[in-house]
Amino acid sequence: MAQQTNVEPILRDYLIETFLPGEDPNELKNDTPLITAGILDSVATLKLVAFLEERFNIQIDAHEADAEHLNTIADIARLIHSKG
Amino acid sequence: MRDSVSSIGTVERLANVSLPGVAKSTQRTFVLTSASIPLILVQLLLLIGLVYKYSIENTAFLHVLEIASIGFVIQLFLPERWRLKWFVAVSLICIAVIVGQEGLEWNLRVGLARTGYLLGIGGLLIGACHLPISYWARAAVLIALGSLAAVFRSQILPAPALDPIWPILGSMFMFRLIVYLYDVSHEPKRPTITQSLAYFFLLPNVCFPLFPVIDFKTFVRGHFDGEPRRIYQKGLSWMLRGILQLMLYRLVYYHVAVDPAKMANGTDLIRYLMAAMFIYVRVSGQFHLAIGLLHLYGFNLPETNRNYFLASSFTDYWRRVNVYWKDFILKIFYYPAYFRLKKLGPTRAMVLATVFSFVATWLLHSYQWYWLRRQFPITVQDMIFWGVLCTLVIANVWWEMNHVRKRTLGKKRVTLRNRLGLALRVAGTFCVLTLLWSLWTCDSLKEWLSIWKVADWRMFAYGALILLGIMLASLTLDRDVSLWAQLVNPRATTSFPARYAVAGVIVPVVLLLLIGTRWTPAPFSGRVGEWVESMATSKPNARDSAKMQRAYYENLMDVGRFNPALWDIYTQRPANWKELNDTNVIRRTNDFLGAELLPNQSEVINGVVFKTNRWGMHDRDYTLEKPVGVHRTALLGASHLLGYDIAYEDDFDYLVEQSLNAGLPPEKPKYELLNFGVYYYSSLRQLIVLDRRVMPFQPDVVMICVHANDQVWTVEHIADAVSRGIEMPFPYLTDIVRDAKVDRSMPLSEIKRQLEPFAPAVVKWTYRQLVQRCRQAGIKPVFVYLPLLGSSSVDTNSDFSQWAIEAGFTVIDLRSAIAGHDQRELVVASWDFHPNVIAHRLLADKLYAALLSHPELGYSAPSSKAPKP
Repeated sequence: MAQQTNVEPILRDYLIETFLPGEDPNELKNDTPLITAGILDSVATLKLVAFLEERFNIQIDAHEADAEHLNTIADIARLIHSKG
Repeated sequence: MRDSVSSIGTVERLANVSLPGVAKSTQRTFVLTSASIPLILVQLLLLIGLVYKYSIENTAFLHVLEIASIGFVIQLFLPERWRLKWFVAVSLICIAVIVGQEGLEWNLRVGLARTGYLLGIGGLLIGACHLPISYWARAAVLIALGSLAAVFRSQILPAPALDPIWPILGSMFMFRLIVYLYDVSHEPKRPTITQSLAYFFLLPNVCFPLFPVIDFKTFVRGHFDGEPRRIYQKGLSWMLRGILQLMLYRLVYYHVAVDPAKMANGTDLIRYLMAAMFIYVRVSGQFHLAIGLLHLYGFNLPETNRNYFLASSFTDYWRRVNVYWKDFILKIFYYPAYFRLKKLGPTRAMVLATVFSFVATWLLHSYQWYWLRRQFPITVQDMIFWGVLCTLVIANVWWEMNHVRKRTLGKKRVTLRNRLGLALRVAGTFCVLTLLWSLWTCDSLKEWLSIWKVADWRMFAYGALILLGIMLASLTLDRDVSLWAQLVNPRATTSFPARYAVAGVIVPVVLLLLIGTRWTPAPFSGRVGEWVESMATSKPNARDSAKMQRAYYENLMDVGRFNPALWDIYTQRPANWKELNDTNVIRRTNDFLGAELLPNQSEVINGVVFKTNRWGMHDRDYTLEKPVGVHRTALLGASHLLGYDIAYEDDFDYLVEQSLNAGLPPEKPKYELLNFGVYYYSSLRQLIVLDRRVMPFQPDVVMICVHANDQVWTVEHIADAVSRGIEMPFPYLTDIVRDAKVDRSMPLSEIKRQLEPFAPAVVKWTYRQLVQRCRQAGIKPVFVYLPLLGSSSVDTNSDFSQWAIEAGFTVIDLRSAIAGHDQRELVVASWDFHPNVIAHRLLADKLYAALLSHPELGYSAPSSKAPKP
């Protein structure tokens, strides 16, 4: 979907810039695990949530700040789109 | 659902199968080969053998492991859709087997009834989570139900039928219910009944009261979410890892741990600190066993902890030491609190949410203790431990919020400078955490402050060596092993890592089984042999054996809280098991003796009628005046002589009396053996009993019955008297107290520590006094050395018989009476190491023979027509 394609590059750029500076963006795939692989800890997850809420004007609930919803770029994109 | 392959033995490829309860769009392909499953079964059999050979954990765990293993084999033949139901069935069978233990026997009716109670109460709690009301209303309902349960748990309202199941019910529901309510309230899809039952009634939980807080969503989604053989292999590897940790813990427990009352220098202090840090290794071992076992049923769960000794910061430690607990707190407390508070700004929200999470952690630990042991400890050490850790974590998190932590997608590229910096941070974190753990596990803050008085250059020297070792370990060990990473990654190749199974599990298990097995000569002797023996021992060490014996009598509140060995013992004890302090046969005295039996009492204690005669002896009646022509013996001692948990007719002194009088009319005995035993009586207390109570009975022989704890108890009794401000019964002891420079303002452990160097002299003096008083009264003194059951043989380095000989006693050593016997068959129960009827019979036989071999004492065998004992 076009919207989904627009979201993923934004997410990738943010993740690389904020948490993985100097890493090759091409290595960060849509299914690369972030939380389960330890790239995002609780502090980073909350930073990501703050970014998503501000950037996409959505409200994320506490129970959505977990691996099910934020573990990969694909998961995050799905969450964004579920917020309408 | 498409057809699935259900047979093994031939190479077949399963059609794509979709898993119930797993919200995945990817179809997975599973392959069963003829080689992999037998290899898995071989590993499982070897692990069972290892558990049996090294007495890993307790009998309950062995039963669960055996049942679970049989269930696993059957599961291999079951269709996919039946597996979760089968897991529930096997779990319930395990529960029924374990809860059906009634005293020392198993009862099917009791097992089924108690399982029914568990299911009924559990079903009520689960059902409350699905009420068609709001989340907070459901939480209120659960709090109300929990409060009602607490009323019964506290025995405010009686429910004796439920008393035995509260610890298990608590362990299963106290945390998982919170997670379950949260998840079902936020998930659109309702779980199936099978999923709910499987989640709560997990089969390993029935034998591990301390259990990881498994996340419900993770539990459901992880069920066969990868290639089954890899899941099984991961589980088996973790089970071995758990067993190795438990063995390592035992080595530390028996050879490193030191009683704070016996610390003499900086080396002892370092040992104490390291042993405190290692307590968690035991918990980690149990967690690995439990989670590993769940893998056999397809639950691909995450690791429980990760190299927590090598944490580089306090947040890192928090994230590593108990991953399941960390995730639980994050999910239920930290994130909800943070999201509500984030309008205050990220830093304020983080601080407040972190404080809230640590307060919750602190209180939940006590809440857990309440359900498991019916106590709610709130101690200063707890507050300091959690408070300091919270502060350190906040500081770390603040730093992480304001600095970018280096992360990578691939292999980490680190410079030597980075590595050294990391190593130093790891060493610093380890140092601080060691101090915190030592404080948390100490009996009191006062005691913790007092232990530093023994610090000297040795503490710094050995401490530096240990920290250097930690730094080296952080540079070399804290990384993913490529094979391991491949194994745990469900996206890795589907080939079965047979060489890993062989090298990682089979070879080490076989080696461990061969060490010291009865079929091969014991390859190790001396110190190494002791280490091997201690890895196979589950008994308390000397310190805890003494503590346990005190706990029988003093209801020590927190015995077992940081003591896994005693914890194991107490969790096996039935809820209605009585200690002497819970009965009417004894009363505490505010003097040096501490307690005495009451006269003319009769009470059923743990199924046995305990009677005292008019003189307050656990024995038949005797006249004060010695009958003419009777040879009278007075036996003095502690509970091993007293005959706790047995009728006096089964006590060894009574049996010997019967044997000596065999063939004589009961009303005209030739020999009388009077049992003056009272629990927890050292030889020092027996000296007081000799003066006050024994002499009026005009004995011909006095037998002082002692076991390996005599010196330990001597110190404890003096220390206890000092601490309570009780006057010393002898001027000699007053001098000792003065020379030891102790007073009641000191913590008990420090008093003992100061008295310890004087202990041998006090014991020798006591023995000399006993002999002297006996000889002055024309009494023959005999020293009877009893075996101490339930203690590790590694600790039996106490031998008082030489001191007794030097004092002038005739010495009779009964320790060999139990030689060649499995001590587990000689104790009253696995939670009560007093000698049982069999042990008393062995002691009686040995004592009888010894008395006849000492004609100077005045005993002779009955006539040849009399029956032998």
